[in-house]
Amino acid sequence: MFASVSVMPEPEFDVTACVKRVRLRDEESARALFRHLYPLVARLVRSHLPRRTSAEDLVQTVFMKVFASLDSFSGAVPLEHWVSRIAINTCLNQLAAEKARPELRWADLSEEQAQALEAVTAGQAELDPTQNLASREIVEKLLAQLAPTDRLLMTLLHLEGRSVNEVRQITGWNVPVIKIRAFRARRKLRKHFETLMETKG
Amino acid sequence: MKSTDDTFRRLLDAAAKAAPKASLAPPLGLETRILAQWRAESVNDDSVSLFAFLRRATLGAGLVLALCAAWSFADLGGGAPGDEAALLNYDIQMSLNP
Repeated sequence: MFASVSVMPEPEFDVTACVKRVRLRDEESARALFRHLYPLVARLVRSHLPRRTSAEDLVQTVFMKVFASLDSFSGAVPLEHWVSRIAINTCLNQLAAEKARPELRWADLSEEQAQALEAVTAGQAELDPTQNLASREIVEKLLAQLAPTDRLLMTLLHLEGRSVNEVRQITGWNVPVIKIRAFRARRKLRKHFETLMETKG
Repeated sequence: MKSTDDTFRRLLDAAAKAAPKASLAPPLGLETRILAQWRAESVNDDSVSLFAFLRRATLGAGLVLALCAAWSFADLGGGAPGDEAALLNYDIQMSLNP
């Protein structure tokens, strides 16, 4: 016989009240807000991380921007969307400062990456997690050859599986712009992929 | 062409399955650093607002001083037209008094 264990539900985080207290310089609320937003910011930063910047530094920059401009947050959109936009723009600015990577060639791939690409080309139905990871690394190398906005769109739409509406909320761009840019970005990425495949010995 | 399309799509699908998982806990020290920086910014904000208040107060005081000075000079420069006659009248009265 097992005794049933009642688990107290965790109280829901009141974002509006917390933001108000942070504006009044309440440190505990600032800590709570940081802990609430950290997973979101960390995930966005890692997905759109520029090559020469550490994720931790970029997360810190994003949070400093969030806290510095919290007074201008009107509450018209959810805080998470507002923070996402700050994080994405910070990554885009950082990416814009970097030069595009040189063309990716087959010889640049590691052994695991080459094997994963072979498996993908052979039409293998299900790849193992290591091959999925290697595929991700290849796609990231291909994405590094694109302009920051193209890279952002491809990551959001194709790697994170977000809808056009979600991308609109994160970036602030309108739907037709997103669709046109995404179409062109995909075409460019596919071109880079073809170039990579052509270099296979 | 079709096979390249398929391969490209499969590559993207495989990459999407290996999405990086961000840990829920921030790295050690990051929270402390961010909060310390936030505190420092808050102190800077307070000093900036105090400085702005003092600057506004100084400008206001200067303006009041300038207005007072201008008013005094205006009073000194031009008297009313009947002032000279009144002064003469006063002198005559004083000389007639014993």
